[in-house]
Amino acid sequence: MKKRIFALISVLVFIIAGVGVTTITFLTYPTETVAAVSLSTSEIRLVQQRLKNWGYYTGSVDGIYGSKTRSAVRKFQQNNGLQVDGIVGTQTAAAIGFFIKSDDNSSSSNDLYLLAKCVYAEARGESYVGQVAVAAVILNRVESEKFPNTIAGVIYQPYAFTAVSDGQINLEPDQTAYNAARDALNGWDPTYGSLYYYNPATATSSWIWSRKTVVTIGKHVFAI
Amino acid sequence: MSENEKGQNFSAKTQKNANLNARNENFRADTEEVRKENRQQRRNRERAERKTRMKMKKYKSAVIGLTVAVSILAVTTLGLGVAYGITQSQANTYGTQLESVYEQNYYDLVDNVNNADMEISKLVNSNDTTYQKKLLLEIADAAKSMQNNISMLPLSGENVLDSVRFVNQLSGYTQTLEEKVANGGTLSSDDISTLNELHDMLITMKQNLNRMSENMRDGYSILLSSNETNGDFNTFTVDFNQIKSNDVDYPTMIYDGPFSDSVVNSEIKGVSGKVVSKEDAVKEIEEVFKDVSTIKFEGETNGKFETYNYSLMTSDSQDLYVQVLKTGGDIITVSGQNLSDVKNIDMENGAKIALEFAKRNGIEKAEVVWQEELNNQAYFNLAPVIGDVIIYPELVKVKVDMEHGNVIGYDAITYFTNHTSRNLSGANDISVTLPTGFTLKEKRLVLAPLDYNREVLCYEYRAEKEGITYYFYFNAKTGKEENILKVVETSDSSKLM
Repeated sequence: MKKRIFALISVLVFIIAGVGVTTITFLTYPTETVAAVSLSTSEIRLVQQRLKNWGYYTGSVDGIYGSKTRSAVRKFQQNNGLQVDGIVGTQTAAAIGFFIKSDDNSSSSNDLYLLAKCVYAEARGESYVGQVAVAAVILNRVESEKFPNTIAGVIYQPYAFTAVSDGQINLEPDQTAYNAARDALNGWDPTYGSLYYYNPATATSSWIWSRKTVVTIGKHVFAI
Repeated sequence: MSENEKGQNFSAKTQKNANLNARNENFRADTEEVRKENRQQRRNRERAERKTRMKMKKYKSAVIGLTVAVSILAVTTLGLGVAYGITQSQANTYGTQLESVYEQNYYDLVDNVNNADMEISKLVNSNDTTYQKKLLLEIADAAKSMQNNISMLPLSGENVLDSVRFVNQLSGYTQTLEEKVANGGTLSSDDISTLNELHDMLITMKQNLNRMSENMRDGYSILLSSNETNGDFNTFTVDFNQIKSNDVDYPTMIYDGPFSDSVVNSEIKGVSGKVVSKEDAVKEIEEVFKDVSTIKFEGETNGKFETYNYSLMTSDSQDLYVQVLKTGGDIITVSGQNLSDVKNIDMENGAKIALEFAKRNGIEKAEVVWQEELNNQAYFNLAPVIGDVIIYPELVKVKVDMEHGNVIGYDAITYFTNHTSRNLSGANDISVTLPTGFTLKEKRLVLAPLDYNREVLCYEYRAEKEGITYYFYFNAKTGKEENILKVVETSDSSKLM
């Protein structure tokens, strides 16, 4: 009898602890946060290729730092007496056999990363050109006198992008988002200087409808 | 005792015995019944006891169950309460932090407006060019900071755009004036009257900001008012827009420089010819892309350029998006990508493919001026060559898929914006000496786009120092050094800075 009550209470404690923790987690962290990895896609490919050759990694060599790559890096770190965090820092990179270049000249890479993140968060369901167009709008804003003058300034301007407000900006971008961001940084702009885009199915601001439409690509209307 | 009597006695005894026996028999039967009854009673009692025990047991489990349920409910409520409390206190902490960031930017903005106002009032009364230059740079800096401050505040709507535009142009305008003064020019009477207008505007902003500051001292919260809606915007936006009185427009600044209207509305020079039909556009695409399997019309573009848009699939199953100019019928952009790991083409062949593609699009002679390869996609920047002069303002960009050798990207926006016939004569044989430590690698004549809307015929010197490549640009007529570019190797490409 006593045993049963004890068992029951233990189960209860577990359930309550579970409910409590989930509730706290749910209330505190409403969105998924993914640790940023500041490797270039070619560096990620290199990591994947080496780890694949050595039998740590089974996925495809795609330049995307996903969960498979992360766990392969963990295994590698474990076997090589490195700090097991799934992140390729200078020590892990050296053990894998390449050097992470010093940060002195990496300003443009940060721009690419930020831009790719915003493209992925805002337009990952769109066609390739639809993603290039979103990246181009961000860069047009940087150039425009009406908006902040840096990529970070434009992306993180309050109320500018819903993906920043709801935390989707923290998702890790895929290769297509990177390609689209790079094209836009190289000057591609299928929207010819558009400063706005909106989804006519969901846009609520009456003001945005008054802007002159330049082109419609996929679900987005691009306007100046 | 006679025999009879004996007999009678005997029979009586027998009778008695029989009676006794019968009684015994009865008694036995009775005892059996009693026993039976007793057993039954015991059984009944036991059953009753069992029942009671069962009842008790049931009751006990019910009590335990109830207690457990109540406990779960209590503890869950407590857990939720604690979680809510923690969340609430965290939210308060975050809220306070955010409010601090907002207020810092607000007060910085006030300081920057005050500084700019003071410096402009000194500027319009100064005749010393060194002092003017210093003040102009300080105003430009203050305006840049104002832009940062405004962009950090929770503002929405088009009025914010106007405010940001004003401060951006204020910095661009004063920067341009500084360059003018630095190059030996003087502030004209037009400049002074624009500066006076700007001064008036800054005073208005200052007065309205002071009013807002008083509210802040009385407990006005930027965060809270940004969470309330007021018409189309949040309350903070509506309050902040008061910094510029509604009936006053921001002054116009006419200049050629950063953020100026002339740069924004730059004229399209390179689009000419007759207006083509959609059918002509499809023909053009089929001619340029020799291996198209499907073409689908995707609508039109009505912006700085007017185009017909098509999505197409090549025989290598690559999706491309192509824009064809309505006027002239040339392809202006192609967008596409290749995600494959396979590489069959080297950079030399890639460059040939890029140049050939440009040729099919009407750019007869061009040179690769920059290239990079990333993830089996190669970018080639081509500059048209006229005579021996490299025409940088008409750059065309081509992206080649290094797996199939197809063009998957093309951007001729710069070309069609700036393409025009120019007089490229007048280069003198200038002699320049590069700074010590530089080894000259190549010298050629180029048309360089310098700052805003200014094209200058220059000699481009490609030189190296300690393994790093630099480009020097000297004015081909005067020999004046116009610009220096340094090639910076970044983690994934080389960039000119």
